Amino acid sequence: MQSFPFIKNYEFFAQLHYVCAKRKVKLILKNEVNIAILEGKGCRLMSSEIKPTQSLDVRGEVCPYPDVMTQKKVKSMKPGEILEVLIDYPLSAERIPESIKKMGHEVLKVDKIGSSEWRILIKIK
Amino acid sequence: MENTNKDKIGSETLIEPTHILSGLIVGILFGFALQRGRFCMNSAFRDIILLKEYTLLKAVIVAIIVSMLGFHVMASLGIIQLNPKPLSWGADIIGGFIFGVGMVLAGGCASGTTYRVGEGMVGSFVALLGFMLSAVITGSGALSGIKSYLETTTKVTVTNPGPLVTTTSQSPTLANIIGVDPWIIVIVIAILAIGVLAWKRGGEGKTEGSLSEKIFKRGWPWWATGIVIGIIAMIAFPASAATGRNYPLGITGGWSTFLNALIKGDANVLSWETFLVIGVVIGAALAASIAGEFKLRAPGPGRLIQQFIGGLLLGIGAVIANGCNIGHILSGVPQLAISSIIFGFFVIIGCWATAYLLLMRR
Repeated sequence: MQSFPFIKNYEFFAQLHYVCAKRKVKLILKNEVNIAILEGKGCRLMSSEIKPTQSLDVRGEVCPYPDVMTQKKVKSMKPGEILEVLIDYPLSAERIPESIKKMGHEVLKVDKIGSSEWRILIKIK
Repeated sequence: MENTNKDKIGSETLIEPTHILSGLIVGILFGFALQRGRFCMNSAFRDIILLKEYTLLKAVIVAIIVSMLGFHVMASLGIIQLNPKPLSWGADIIGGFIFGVGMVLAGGCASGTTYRVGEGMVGSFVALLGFMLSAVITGSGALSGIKSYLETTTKVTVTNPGPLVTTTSQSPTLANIIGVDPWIIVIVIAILAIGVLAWKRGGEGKTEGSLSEKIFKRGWPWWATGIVIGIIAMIAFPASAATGRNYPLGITGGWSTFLNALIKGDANVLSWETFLVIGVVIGAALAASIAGEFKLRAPGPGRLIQQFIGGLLLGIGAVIANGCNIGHILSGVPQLAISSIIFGFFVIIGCWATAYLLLMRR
């Protein structure tokens, strides 16, 4: 039986693939109770994928539009929702996480998905 | 040789192969550093009000302080003679404001636009085309009357340029208008700037990775960018002076001589600065490719037109004022030139006004 402390952050809109008693189980988890039950039954996490509520594609845009559009989008969303931002401007890849954290939201991850392409996952608080 | 301020079109000396190489090498280093540091004065000034972000501004300040100290040390040692740009306050005010507006529309200052071409940003390429075009039109074409009118009617000179400055200069500086040794001004400014930077240095998060990764794969921290660019400026001054152009880094003259040479079919027009700006594009492309940050990309048609118009304004503003953000702010302010300080101030005003109207309402 293993515990995965980081899963507790993915409360909503998370798809977790578990192996329970050698059977693959795909779950869309709505709250932490499901995770506790799963872990109690000896299930093992295989992989996790966060499904964003909304996606903002600002690739091709010139500075400062990636930053400005991301901030506007974030302000229009509700707490708990997840925003995926796709950008290809290097400065924004470094700057957007900083400014979003300053706004009080959580940056779940920043992935490089290609040559000069990034995917930022933001959780609205 | 009477004219040693080189953002004007034309060069009195024929360009030699060593000059070409020197310009290219300094340009490649400069372009590399600009890309790695994401160094853009447009972002630096604009983000003060737009994002309440000061990181790039700190990099600009460090670059200016390092250049200022470096230039004055080299001048005191006799390696160079300072050459601040002449003051025509009308040209500096109007040119500065137009440049500031253009920067925001173009999505970058003159150096920012140039290095982003190397990253594959087609929007910046379009802005650069506008920049080149209007620079030539304002320098020697249909708009040149405005430039000469402003330059001649608002010109202010000093008779004694002071120590460390080339003797034919009539340009007012912070030092010679008060009549003190430039080192006094330099030390005061340096202490103030270092004080502000130390107070506002901000928490840079610890980043993992080897040194090679930090240099080539990730963006540089602001203090490293500023120091490297300041050092490149120090290399540029004597390198350029050796070719007859007694001035450190610049961008506008490079692109306007480039276009002029093509239009007239005359290689004599090319200067050290022409090869500098070509080097910037190459250096930035190199840096971007190594870091996996090169990508040919373009915004939509509306944004392309906006950037083209921005480029036109950049060229008009820079040529009216006889310098752009690099020629005046990065190269001129460290030499304490009043013209560069006035230009810089109005660039910021134009930038903030445009950023507010375009990006902060609604």
